[in-house]
Amino acid sequence: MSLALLRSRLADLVAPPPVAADLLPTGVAALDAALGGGLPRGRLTEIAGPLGSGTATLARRLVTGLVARGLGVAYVDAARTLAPADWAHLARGHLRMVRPPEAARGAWCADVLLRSGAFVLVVLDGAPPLTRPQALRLVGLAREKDAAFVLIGQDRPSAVSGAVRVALRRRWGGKAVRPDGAIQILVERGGNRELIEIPGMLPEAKRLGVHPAGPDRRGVGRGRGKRWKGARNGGRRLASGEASC
Amino acid sequence: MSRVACVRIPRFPLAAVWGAEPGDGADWDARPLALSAPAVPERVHVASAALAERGVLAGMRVTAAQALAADLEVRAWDEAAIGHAVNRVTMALLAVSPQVTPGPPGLWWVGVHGLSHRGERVVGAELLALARAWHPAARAALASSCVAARAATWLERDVPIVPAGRDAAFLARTPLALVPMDGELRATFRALGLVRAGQLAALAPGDVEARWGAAGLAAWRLARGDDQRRPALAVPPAPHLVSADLPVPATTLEPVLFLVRAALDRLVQEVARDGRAIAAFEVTLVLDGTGSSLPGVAAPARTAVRRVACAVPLARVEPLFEQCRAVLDDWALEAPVTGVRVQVTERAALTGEQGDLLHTGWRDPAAAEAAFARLRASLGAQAVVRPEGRDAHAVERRGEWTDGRIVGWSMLPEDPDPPTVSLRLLPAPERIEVTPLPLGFRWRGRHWPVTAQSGPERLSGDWWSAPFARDYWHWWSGGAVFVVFRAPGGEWMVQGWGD
Repeated sequence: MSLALLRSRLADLVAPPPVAADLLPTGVAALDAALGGGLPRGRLTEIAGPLGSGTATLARRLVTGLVARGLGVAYVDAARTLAPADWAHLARGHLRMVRPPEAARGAWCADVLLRSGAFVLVVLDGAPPLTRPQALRLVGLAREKDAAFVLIGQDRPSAVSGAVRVALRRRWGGKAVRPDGAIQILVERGGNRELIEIPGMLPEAKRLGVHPAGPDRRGVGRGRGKRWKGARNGGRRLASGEASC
Repeated sequence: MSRVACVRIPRFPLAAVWGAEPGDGADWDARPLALSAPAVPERVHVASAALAERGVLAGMRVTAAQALAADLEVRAWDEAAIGHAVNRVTMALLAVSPQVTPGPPGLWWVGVHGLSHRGERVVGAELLALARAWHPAARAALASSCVAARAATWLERDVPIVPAGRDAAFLARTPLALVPMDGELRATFRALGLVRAGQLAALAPGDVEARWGAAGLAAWRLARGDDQRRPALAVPPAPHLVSADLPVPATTLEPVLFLVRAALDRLVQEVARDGRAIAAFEVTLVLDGTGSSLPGVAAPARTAVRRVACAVPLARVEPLFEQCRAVLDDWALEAPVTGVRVQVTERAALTGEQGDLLHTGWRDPAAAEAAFARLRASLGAQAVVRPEGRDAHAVERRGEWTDGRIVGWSMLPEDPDPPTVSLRLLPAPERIEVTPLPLGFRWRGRHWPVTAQSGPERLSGDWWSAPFARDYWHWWSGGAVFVVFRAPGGEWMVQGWGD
């Protein structure tokens, strides 16, 4: 076990310090520490990162923690890419997803949700880049209604002053050919930049087939024989000419 | 001596909650319907005649009732719907007498003193006809006191009339159960063997007061027909209505919304003053009638009505206005608007929900409902959804987005947060071109070199509906892990990626 992982485990065990009422804990102790206690209410937080960098997993951790505390959360899945099975544990909570038919309507959805004043957190995920007037209007609503507004997946910053920026990247240390589940987060807040690393944040599923019962394969794949040869390679480095296709 | 009529409609709350209309007969009473108790939802409070025939009684557990009637349909006690129906009957009875006082749901007292010139039997028949529009087994009876009139409705006659001055004699033979009193006192009397009102009335008042106090003495008086209750003048509820004319016909909804907001502001204050909340209201737009096809002839003004029903009764302007916007936003105006009318059509008791002042995260659920209603109205019913787990093998069928208003049953075990990375799935798997050496693929115009892989893992099943057989791989490329599969036809598809 690495020292960083040990520190992370210890941080999870030790009782967290009291959180200010205007901050929403993300559920990740190291990130909360870098953010000064959590996501600020009344402001914009941008969570950005390249494809597969862990934005959805971080958002899920954040939303799960808030819903468990009985807080009202609204999530706009503008790109309509979230997998419902991964969020099903929140079905009986306060979470409701808004999935507009077009990604461009996401900003309007966030506008309606923020203006209602019914949520402490509104997440806008996968919307096209906001124009400056759009961003300023949404931030103004968040400030007026004392809600945290989180924008996910925007590659370029929204140019809104006072925004907190959280940039995510998977760690590919050394000669690794695949990430090890750790995540690097660059937090920009009030002119300060801090790079943190959270091990074990993105554990990959060993298998896709997680159903406890074996599938009923009658009538499917009959007569097609085995399509592959050899044992599973378990994610090892590909040797030259080894591609199985 | 004053005269009182009692009108009793059996199982009236059922008719109210199931939305029965007068003149429809009582089909609802022939169905296995039941209402749960307001305070104890797991118990049956009112059961239909069909259920009573099968042995379902009030007070029985719902599960026990279901054992007797598998097709039982149970609904919760709906104070707003019952109150609305009671009000309708009260208004109908005003056609006979101005003195109408509703009692418990299904019971009305009507003052018929001074109507003797029409004949008590005629008055009773009129009341009975009005009541039987709701239920053919409704009863009406006349007496000199409320208690005697009510007891007389249980006689097997159409319109029993207890002659003036004969209330005590009539009550002497009636069961004590028909004299209103505290349940504990009733049980005491029953334990002492007092089963008829006359037995209680025969006791010495001093003894009754000494043993059972004021409550016992009040019951003793009622048993003798000494009932001070009298029907009062029924005041029809004032229509909560605000209307305004626009100085200039409006072609957009902005000025309309301005007026609607002002109207709601006033209506909320009016309704809240009575300790009530708004359950439903109507917005009526008066459209300009000058667009007649005949030159020089003004067409009559037309109106367009939209009804807004709140999920929970509200006495706050903001969420009501948001609900209103949801309705008005997609309203295509056929003609300029010249006037606006907002009317409260249903009111309900104001709940004591005040939120938690010490909970900084507390938010008004009604405001959330209003916002979601607006999104649904604009983007479609499927725009607001809940995630729900499904018992399936295929990756895309393991979950489903369901209607946000329905809390579905999750087949997945409850977990505070899934332990693995969250998946993002494409709406439909997209075909990719795979390059073998070195392994990579082309997707959305970009080449993705694969640095590591895991697989294959065969997933198949669902032979009964949508059979599938896929060989899944995890491919690491460009900092992401892609979920790709090879379809039975040999083509490679990307289905999503871990994020």
